[in-house]
Amino acid sequence: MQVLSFRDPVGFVVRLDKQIFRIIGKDSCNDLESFLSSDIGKKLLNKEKVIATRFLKQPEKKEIGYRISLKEEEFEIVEHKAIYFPSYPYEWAPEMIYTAACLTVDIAVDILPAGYTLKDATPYNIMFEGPNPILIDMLSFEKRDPRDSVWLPYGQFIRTFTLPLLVNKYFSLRMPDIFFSRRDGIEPEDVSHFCGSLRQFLPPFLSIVAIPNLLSKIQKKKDYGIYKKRLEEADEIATFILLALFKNIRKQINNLKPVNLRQSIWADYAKNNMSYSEDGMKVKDRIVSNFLNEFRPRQVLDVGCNTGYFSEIAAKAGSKVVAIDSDPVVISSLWRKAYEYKLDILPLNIDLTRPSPSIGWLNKECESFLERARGKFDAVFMLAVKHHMMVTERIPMNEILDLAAELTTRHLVIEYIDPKDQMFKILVRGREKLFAYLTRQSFEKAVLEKFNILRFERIEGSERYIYILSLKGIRHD
Amino acid sequence: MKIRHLCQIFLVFLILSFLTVKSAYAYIDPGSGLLLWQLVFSFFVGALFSIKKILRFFWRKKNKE
Repeated sequence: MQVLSFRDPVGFVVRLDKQIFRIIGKDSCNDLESFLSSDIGKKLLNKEKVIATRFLKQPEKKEIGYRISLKEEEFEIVEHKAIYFPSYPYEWAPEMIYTAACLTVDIAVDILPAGYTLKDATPYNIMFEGPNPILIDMLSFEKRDPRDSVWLPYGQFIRTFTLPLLVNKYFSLRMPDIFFSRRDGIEPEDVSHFCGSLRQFLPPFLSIVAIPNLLSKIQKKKDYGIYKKRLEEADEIATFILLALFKNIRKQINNLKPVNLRQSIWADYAKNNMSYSEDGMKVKDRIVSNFLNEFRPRQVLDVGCNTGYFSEIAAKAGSKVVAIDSDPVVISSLWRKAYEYKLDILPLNIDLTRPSPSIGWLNKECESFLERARGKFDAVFMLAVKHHMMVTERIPMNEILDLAAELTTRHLVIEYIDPKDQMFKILVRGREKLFAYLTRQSFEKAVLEKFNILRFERIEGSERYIYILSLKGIRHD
Repeated sequence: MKIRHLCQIFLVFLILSFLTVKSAYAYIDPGSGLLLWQLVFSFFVGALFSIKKILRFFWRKKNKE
């Protein structure tokens, strides 16, 4: 059993094998129960805007309660649909933060007329299934006082959605820069230091940076008066104010929508790629397509996915794809493509030579990339990436193959690039001696430690070979 | 004329003093600024609601007449 979420005192989330359960105190599950049976709850569930959730009944509840060692009379247990590959904001492209922000506000607006509100608004409550965001924190839904015109998570929303998008757009800060060091987003005061003295008084900084920053300084210490509940005279005034607030937030994030400035350069990447001739690319395409048709991997990890050319082929062949790359720009454009064309690809900004660590309380709150990825994929693609890992990052070849053997449960499609290759030479920058040992024979010898070679093919007109490998000792069930 | 100039200079200094404010406290309530801003926003939108209501009331009255 693994505890996944514990910050909310009302309940916590555990994983048992592949199932996700949320344990909720008996007194606290009324809001969730009524929300799930409400029209708006059903609508959001049907549209897959919120995670599929069901209350456990006896005897299932008793069995799960026993496995978690709980006194079942004190708790209710709900099961959530498990997200295939959990990811965190520091691995997302700005576009993904943007779309998660839109989902959060849209849900807040949709549930308002039915008398509900969100008590949290943070990207940690959103996960991606393929390129699509889903709200996973079902305990965020609570009944609101109809006369209450304050949306308490407003500050959290600005810190974790609006301001990260703002500093990304104006100061090119990436999501890892923000979310690795700051769990709860970026403060207006931090942003004011980026802006400088004058710029913060101009839009769009004025209302979300300068004014809140000045107000927090003017605010007397130990004056808790502002946190007292304020109720309007009538329900309609509170609704009017909240709708105006949500409209304002939506307008702000719309103005901060990430723009893919380098789209045109990357759109033609495959064509401009000097490593392959047009025929060479066709050969590579054919080898990968044949592999997909023959072995039909259910899940594929595409390491160093670049424009996502092969991720796209795999997704179209019916695989669930997680595509990782260290370049945030390609992750942005791949996410746009996957979202637009409804491809089952989850693009993440991850460098496999420096993968996301496990962070948070006790280093257990957000699992490391490798903990999440080990054994999760039927096939791993390492196409035109091994030489980057070996030369630029100086990771030994056998270590790369060992890791690949941990990530895949069945196959590895890997490209061998000979030191005679033009790109290899560029990357080596005169350190050829370091790679004198590297030949196709030494590569094959290293491969055979963990894998069987099913076949390989040379990409004509290049010093590149594609190998289809199968893990030694795989179970064929 | 002189008083006007003095006022202008005072205003410039006032603005400059705002611009150069640096937090001297080790801890200030970080969420309070955004919450206060929301309260200011709510106050004005609430006022707008009341004004709209009054205008609508007069509009109807006028139409009836």
